[in-house]
Amino acid sequence: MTLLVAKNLQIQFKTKKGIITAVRDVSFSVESGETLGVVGESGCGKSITNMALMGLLPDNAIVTADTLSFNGVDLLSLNEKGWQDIRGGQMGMIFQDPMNSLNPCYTVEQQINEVLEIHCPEMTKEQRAEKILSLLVDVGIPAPKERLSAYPHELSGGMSQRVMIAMAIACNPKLLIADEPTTALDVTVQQQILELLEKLQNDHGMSVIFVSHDLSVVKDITKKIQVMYAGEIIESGITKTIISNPEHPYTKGLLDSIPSFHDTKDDVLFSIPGLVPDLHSRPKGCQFEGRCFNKKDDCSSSWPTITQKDDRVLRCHYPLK
Amino acid sequence: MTANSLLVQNLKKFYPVKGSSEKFVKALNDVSFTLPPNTTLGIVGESGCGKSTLAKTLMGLEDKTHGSISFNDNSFDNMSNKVKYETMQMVFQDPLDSLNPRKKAWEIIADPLLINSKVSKTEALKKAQELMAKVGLRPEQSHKYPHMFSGGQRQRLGIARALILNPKVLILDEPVSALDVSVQAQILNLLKELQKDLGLSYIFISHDLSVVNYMADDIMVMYLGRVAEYGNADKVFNNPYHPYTKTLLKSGHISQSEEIKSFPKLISSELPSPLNPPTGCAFHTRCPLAKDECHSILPEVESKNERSVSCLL
Repeated sequence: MTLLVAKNLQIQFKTKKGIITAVRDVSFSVESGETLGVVGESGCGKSITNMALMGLLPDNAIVTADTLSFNGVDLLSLNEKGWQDIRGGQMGMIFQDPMNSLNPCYTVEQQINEVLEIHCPEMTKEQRAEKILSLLVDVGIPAPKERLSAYPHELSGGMSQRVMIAMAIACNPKLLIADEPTTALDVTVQQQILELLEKLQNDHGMSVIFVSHDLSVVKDITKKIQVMYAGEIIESGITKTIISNPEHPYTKGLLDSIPSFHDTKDDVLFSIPGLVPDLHSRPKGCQFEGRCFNKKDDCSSSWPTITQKDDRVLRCHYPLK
Repeated sequence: MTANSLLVQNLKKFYPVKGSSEKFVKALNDVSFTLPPNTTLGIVGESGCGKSTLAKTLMGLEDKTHGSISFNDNSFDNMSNKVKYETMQMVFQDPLDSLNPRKKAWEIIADPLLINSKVSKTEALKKAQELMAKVGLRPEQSHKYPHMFSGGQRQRLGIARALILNPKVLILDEPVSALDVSVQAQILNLLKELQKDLGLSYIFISHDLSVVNYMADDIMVMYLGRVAEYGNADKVFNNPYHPYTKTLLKSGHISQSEEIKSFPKLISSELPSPLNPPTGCAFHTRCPLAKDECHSILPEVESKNERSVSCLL
């Protein structure tokens, strides 16, 4: 079953310098139980897209789409009350920095309790207390009973992220959006959080959107991947095929600039020259044209449309073979 | 001793614990290494393992508790600050926070020169612009302020500032962690190129093992202020001895070896409190291979096959 469908999603912001288009022509879908990886550099629109899915964009944002539906609900027509039902209930989110995402003034128990109170009003106080404890056990917090009364500053980064995950899965969400969930953590802790997410996904049958700039993490835990650049999806498909055989020059450049994908130290790392285009004055043609090593004359004049071949979606005039 | 090597022996840094005259946080404990010219020592470990304390103590930003640091057989204790800073400079993690927002690019780069030697402002400007060209910035940008540069360009400014006194050793404390991968690649390439041109030695601190593997000749793995494993980078990566190194390689998703991939999970994800470190081997509380003796006996740093390892097993 398809859980989430976005067709031709566009996100604009009203700014003092006029309207800028942060995300345009983005189409993707997430099936039940599936993990979708989203990669790209800062400012490519990864987080903004997720914020739109959660209805968390600021007031100056304009979101339009041909379709944006989650579990049969049209997200574009929701009012604030409707959003509140979905957010935290059917859709959970984990943020990058666990230390800053928890409320420092409330204990672990109070914070998880709040989620349950709002989204599962039928539960009694005792049921909630029981549920909170079992959630902490689920996410692998040692000595969970003692942790109930702990404040966020008493927890390490990995523990805070586990509490965040416990909050996100408290109401058995159908979709979990994990926005760089391990970026702020040490590798050993990262590994454990990834294993935890995988286990929870298998247990609860959740779908996960996993956003990261770290391709080596994404390649190990996702089956499908989409690469974003300047607010567009430029390549998407099966993770394995894309990593082993990227067809978009940007994807290739991104992979080549990571040291672990190189064999010897004497290789000069490939680096993508130039900078991401200014969203106030987007190039007329392909957004990546200024930095591309494979560009031809017409790349700067015509904007490539999405093409689909087998499982792979591509936005490029001259894909690599 | 080889000429122009940095030699660090039994370096210790203890911080006293508030309210007690006997308790200390042992942030660095018996760290020793040699850094010959034109080589890179990579330092890895989790947060709180003492990586940054090591950098600060080497730079003299923190006073050492015990041990010796010497360069070319001259001890740092007898060196004036001026000579010390002409020997060793540092590049910081966050390129924006480590640049003075009220100074122009050339002033930031030239500051060490203006402080440490008697040059005129015009000469300093000229030198700063030369360095900007060297690190891949346009000299015309010398009158811009830090906020007008991108992240990668700011890190280039930081590198130029570190280079202006012609140091022999650069301490790079997570120099690329705040950057996107494509920009990270540019900075890593620049650092390699500079090393080749100027014969610099690097102490390269990072939590990203793939970056360290790419940059480093030697590698030192630290755990709770102690050296867990130290040796040639290729050998450590391809055939790690210490269980902690194996754990790091497994978690970093970079090793292809089956031995590493199937290495057992850590018992606990939590780093023990440095206030109250475990008895015996500090890693035994998390080590999947720990035996009874690990709880009580502190492993000495042993050398085998040109590699130092502190593990009983």
